[in-house]
Amino acid sequence: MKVGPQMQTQSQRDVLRSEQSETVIEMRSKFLTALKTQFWEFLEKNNTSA
Amino acid sequence: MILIEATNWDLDCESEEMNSWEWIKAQISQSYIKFLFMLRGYSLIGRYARNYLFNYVAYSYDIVSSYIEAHEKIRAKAENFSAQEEVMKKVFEESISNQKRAEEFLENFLNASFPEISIEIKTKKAAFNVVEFSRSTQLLTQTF
Repeated sequence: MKVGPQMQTQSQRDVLRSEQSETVIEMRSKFLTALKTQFWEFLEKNNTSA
Repeated sequence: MILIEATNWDLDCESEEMNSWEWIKAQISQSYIKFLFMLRGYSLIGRYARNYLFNYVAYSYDIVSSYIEAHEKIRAKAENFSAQEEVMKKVFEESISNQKRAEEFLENFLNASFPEISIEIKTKKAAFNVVEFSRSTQLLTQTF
């Protein structure tokens, strides 16, 4: 099946979007892990009881 | 532990936007606070209600202020993470949105309804930071 230029651009866009959303998930995961470490640090220092 | 549970909750749904503030807010029972606030005027149980109220508001304040502080700290550190600017911006926006809602809750509910408790907690936190700072300075002096 032939893929027209418009279709190709759309699929390229989809690939780009999914790659970007994967990177966002990765970054979000890093951020949340760092946040969790920070909360543990607060607990260890008794800076919070929460 | 509530803060760690909230982060776990966000980590479990990492493909969705960060929204741990809503989970934390649901853990703070405003109706329990209102109930204790109402009871504090009664002669026999009033004293107990006042104590419970103070402890519960202090605990809630502790949760919210630590949540805000941690988000600020991690955003400052996260600038060293190697990621595209667009991606960083997206995650930072989510963090700022959660932090803003937490700040609004702190200002509009806890600070406005219980100013005396807020002041007491702020003083305790400031004292703790001073002790921590002097401890770390002492350690540095001993090392060099």
